[in-house]
Amino acid sequence: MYRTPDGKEVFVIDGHCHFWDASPANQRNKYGRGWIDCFYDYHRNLSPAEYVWPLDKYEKYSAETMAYDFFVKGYVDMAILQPTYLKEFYINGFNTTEQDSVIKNMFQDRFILNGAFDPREGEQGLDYLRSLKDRYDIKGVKLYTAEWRGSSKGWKLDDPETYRFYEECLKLGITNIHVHKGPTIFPLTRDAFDVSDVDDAATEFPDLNFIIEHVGLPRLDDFCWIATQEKNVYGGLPVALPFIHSRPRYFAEIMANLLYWIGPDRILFGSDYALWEPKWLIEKFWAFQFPEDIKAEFGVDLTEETKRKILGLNAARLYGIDPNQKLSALPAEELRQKADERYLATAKEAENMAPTSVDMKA
Amino acid sequence: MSSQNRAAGHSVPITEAQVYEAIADVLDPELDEPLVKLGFIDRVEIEEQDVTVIFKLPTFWCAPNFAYLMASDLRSRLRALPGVRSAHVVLLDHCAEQEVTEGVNNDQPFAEAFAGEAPLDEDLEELRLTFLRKGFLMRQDTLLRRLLRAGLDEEAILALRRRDLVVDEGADVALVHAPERVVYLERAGRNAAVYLRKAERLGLLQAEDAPLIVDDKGLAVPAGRLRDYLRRSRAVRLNIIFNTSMCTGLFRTRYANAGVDEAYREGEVV
Repeated sequence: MYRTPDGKEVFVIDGHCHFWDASPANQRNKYGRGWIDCFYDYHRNLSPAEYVWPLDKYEKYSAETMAYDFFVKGYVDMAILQPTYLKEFYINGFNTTEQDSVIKNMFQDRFILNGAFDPREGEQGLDYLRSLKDRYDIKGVKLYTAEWRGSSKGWKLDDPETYRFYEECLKLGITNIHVHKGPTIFPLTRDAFDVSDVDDAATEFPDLNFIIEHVGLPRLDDFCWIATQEKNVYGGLPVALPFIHSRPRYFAEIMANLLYWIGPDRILFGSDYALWEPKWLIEKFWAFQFPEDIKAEFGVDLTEETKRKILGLNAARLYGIDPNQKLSALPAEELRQKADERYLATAKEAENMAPTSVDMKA
Repeated sequence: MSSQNRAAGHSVPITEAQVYEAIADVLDPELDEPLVKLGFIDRVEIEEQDVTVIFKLPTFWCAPNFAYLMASDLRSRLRALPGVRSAHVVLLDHCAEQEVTEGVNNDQPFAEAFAGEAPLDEDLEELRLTFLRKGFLMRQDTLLRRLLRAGLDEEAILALRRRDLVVDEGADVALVHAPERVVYLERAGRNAAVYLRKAERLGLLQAEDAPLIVDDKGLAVPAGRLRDYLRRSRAVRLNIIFNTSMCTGLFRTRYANAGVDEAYREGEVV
């Protein structure tokens, strides 16, 4: 729970986080090295200096560190674990549902565990999806359409094979489809992060919610256009939000666009941990005000009510969580203490979080 | 001159400055900025008449088709440089460095260099055109916002003709002859000049009396619709700023001491 400077309580769901292992021992090849190096550059590039981690911690952090950063230090009430398999790059995967389940099991009330599917796996993939439901009772999946598999460098949300998986999701009660649509990395040719394939899928499956992570950047215009047409399309803020620190005016322009086109009810907060830590993102987001000229041009504002929706209420609605009931049911102090003790007991070395000597200036 | 020199068995050495000048206009298509200015050129190696340009990108994963486009542009500029006997381009620190480097130096089309991985219809020229259009719209968005801020209303702006815009790129100034007055825009000349150059490459704004503001297909903005039009053009600009700011930031972070210029365009407008 975030307590505002004037004492109000704000329920927070971090809609996007990872519990990954990119340690050298788990790296399968140069791509595994290249992947985490690239993430680390994103992290160093957009984090305030005091939140920059050393590389070895960034490659692999403990469950205690993560719980501490979220629930003790970071105001988060609940967080959604979004898996990224990348088994072609990492021996055990980067953060599979199974890997994420470790921290979910340690903090049952606090984490929502999502699964994943890959339509290229056919029947076997459908079996795997059913087994995820059986084992973890998942309510959502994270899809990564640009993932390499053998000679294939990606797939589409509106492929007929993918539709079979949506149908299975509906049967199993998996209703939240998170999709990575972000900066162009990876796909060899045709842009696998192009957002146009969202459109048909969202029309065909009105009972599924499509949460487009990174709001399609750098294809914000296409994303807004589709999200305006399709009421079951949402935008996740990871990657856009950290600009609030380094380029606040730019962040204001993005937010104003989103509020103008899709409104305050379909935007979700997410840190993308460990890309960025929730604490500073939440503090800066709560304090953020639109410049007057942007307010005037778009006719929208980032009110307290809107901020509450984005920080937690929208995700709560998608995942069937009652914020009031949840807040009173969560043993806040006990949990804090528990996370604190575990953290202090087992992750002392992580306390040495002094920023590395990264040169952030041009 | 070079053929004579060669025939005579001696040749004029090629200088690094000549090479940098020859490649000065090669753009990162997504960022709409020259590679030299972005700091992406790692170094130039010259051995007599043999020239190699070595370049690097913000991430290990930058899309290989864009990398290929930049590499082949670099190589074609080198080959056009008088006196050059052989021209090579090398891409560093990239997931497809080998395919890009070998493919471009062997004159292979992109699809062939990535045989089995890229669809055969992948057309780099189409990609180049897409980003030319986006670059045009972004510069136009900047120009439009400066005009609005200077107090011109929609009617006046949509009535402007190509001949009404006079640019002094060196002084970074643009003069706009509106119906009732002349608008003097400081720090707007370079943007306006790029706008006109991109329009020319798209085959737009050819006639002196063509409307100054047209979309990337050459269609005029309908009366009363400028506000809607601006929302779209702003989004195009925001996307490019996102790429530019993310990529230049990542480049700086990745190569801490690289001589990357401040390539943010945010300050120019709004």
